[in-house]
Amino acid sequence: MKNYWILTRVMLKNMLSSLNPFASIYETKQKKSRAILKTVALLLISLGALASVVYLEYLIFTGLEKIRMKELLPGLAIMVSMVLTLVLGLFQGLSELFQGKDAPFLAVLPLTSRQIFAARLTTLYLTECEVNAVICIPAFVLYAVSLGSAWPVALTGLPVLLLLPLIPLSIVALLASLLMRISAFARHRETIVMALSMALAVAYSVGVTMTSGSSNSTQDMIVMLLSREALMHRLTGFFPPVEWAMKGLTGNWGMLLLLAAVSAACVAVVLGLAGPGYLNQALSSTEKTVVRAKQGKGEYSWNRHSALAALHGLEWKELLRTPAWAYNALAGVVMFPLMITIGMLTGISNADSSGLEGFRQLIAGVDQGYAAVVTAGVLMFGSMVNPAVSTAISREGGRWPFALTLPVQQKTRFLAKLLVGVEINAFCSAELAIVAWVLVRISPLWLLGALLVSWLISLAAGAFSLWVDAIRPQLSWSSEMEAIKKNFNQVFGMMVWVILVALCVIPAVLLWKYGGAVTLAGVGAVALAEAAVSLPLLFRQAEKHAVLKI
Amino acid sequence: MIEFIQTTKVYGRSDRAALDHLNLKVGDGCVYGFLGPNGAGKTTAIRLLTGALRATEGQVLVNGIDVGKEPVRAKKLIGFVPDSQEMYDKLTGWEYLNFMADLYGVSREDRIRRGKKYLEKFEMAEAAGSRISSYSRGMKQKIASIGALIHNPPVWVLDEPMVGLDPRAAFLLKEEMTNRAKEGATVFFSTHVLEVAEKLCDRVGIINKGKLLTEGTPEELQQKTGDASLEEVFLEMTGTDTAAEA
Repeated sequence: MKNYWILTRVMLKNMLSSLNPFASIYETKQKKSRAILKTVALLLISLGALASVVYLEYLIFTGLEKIRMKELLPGLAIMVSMVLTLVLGLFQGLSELFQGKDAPFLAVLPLTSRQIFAARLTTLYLTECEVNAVICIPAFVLYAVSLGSAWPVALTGLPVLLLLPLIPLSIVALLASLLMRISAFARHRETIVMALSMALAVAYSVGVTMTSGSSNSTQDMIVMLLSREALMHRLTGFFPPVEWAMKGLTGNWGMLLLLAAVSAACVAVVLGLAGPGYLNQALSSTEKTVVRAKQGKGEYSWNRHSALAALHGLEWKELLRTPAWAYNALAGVVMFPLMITIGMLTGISNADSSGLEGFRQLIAGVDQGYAAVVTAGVLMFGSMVNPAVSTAISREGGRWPFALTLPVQQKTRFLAKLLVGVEINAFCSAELAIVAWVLVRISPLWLLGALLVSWLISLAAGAFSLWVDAIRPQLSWSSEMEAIKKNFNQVFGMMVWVILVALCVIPAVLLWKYGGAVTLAGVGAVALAEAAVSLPLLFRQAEKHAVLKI
Repeated sequence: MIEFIQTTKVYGRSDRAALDHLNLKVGDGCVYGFLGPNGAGKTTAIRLLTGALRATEGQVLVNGIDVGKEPVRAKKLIGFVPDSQEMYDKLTGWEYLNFMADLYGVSREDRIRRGKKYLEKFEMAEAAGSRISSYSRGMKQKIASIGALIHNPPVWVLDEPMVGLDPRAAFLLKEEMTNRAKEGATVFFSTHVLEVAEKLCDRVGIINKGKLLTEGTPEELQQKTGDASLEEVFLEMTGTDTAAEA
């Protein structure tokens, strides 16, 4: 037990040290002041993000208050937190638990496999608590304020918050361990783990959609709108712990105790089942591949490519073959359209045919240009978070000095990186456009217009975020997960996207009265201008970053 | 041919030059050893030579081409083996070599011929189908060396090339360095292994605190200082106290 605490403390210190501007006493004065400025900037951005969450939850809360369903807000926050841990936690769990570079080092220390596993699980748990706190605390506070008495909610809210991640995290850890065990002897282990984890995440989403949205009949809808209980049950039915947490928060101590007991049992089970074999699993991937290295045989094609094609191929291979990067770069953008597709398909399969037909007739009756503008707006969301491009330089890490010795123009290198990000977005938006065409029957020509506009935004957002990453690359990382997940350039990239999309909203509002075609053309013109400005800016900057900035 | 002309590099606002007015000319067909203690400026010099850094003052020429002014043209003439193990390790050995051949514009016939030749020579043919991440340190060093030779460069630059190599691999690499020089290429490498430098190098330069202290053939240096070995020359030039104790 003592060793567990020591290890956990070291891991947490290591995790937090990146935030400490005074981490190294050897830094120069200039570097120190830059670090302080950076910390202040990050703090302001984090506060801004928190303020956005609070504002959004406030808007939802006032809406719910009007229909006398204010209790739903903390319930929604709890549900979102648990679903996030379940769906995205699997990717993070796999990376944090099994892809740490320190496994061989830890293996020689006098620690048991279970102690190491527990310490890793604790750091993962605290990260999840942090995310849950951002989502849940504003909702809990709003709910408490509306009750007029903060103490009862504070008394139940804290244990709920601390218990929330335990069950989903235990499931995630167990699944991650199972995936590692299943793939232990496979030749293409990383690919198998990645494909299976994506499939599991999709399965979760399908499960959630099917259990929480399994009926769309008008009668059911009326019952739900009239009955708070029915709606609550509908929202939480897919995962009972959500219901226990919700009821626990509202003062049902029995439910809170049930949540605590099941959480404790889950943790004990996962430590008991996955703990003993953990270290071997974490070590096994490197051991297996070293053995395989001596067995690779066969002929190679030696095909010639241009420098751009070679770099573009390299980017794709690196992205797809590094699980942590693949999860983060592909999970959001691939899962987003997939989940919408699955959601729509599930909804349609359960809806009466007249509902869908009616919606199609409604869409057919409106100006198709307007439908295209709205579709373009939805498609743009595919490029909101694009770590493939917003961390493209940072991911080079220690190889960057070597990369700079290769005989290619820096703009060719940048273009290859940008193309990969744009291609990922293009794939996602094309997928969504096909869904819109098949299910909603928007005219293909108008859809093409919407697609083009969304691709222009993706190009501009990609170019700007790559430019940001070139200016301040985060090259010093110790794990691949850290390179992409803990890189703040992602947030800057997202902020750039918000600005670019906001600029597109201006012509949409101004030109709306002139018809759909004119509005789409106006939005397209702004998107084109943004792309036209972003690319030369990126390429002009590229050569400035062709050497190390030390 | 490599030429450093009054090359100076100052990092950021530091008041000390990492490389201080370096003047050095290494001709064709020469194996040149660049020696110096840790932090002496060897890696800085190599980074300036390979175009990863820009000089604060002065020039670096590769076969007469200014690396600062025409970096891509100059880089095409260089084959570089970095000291760190940080490389594109998600690629297989074959993919890495083909990638390097693409960037250096090597024809398909040449890349097949050279690729196979060096993979056989460095005993890497069987491992070439596996990802570099699965290689040992020595194997990584070997594949990086082959990658640097795939375009038959007239200038071969190696940063600490012997680190991590087993005796057989080190022997093969040394043999290749000598062969390249015999074929007329310039071979420039940094090392801490003084025995290697003594046996392998046509000329040696000793650098400390950014300044080139002395330069010449190993024999010339020994004559200059009156020492019996290159090790003693090195110790005397880079730290008198240590030399006295020795």
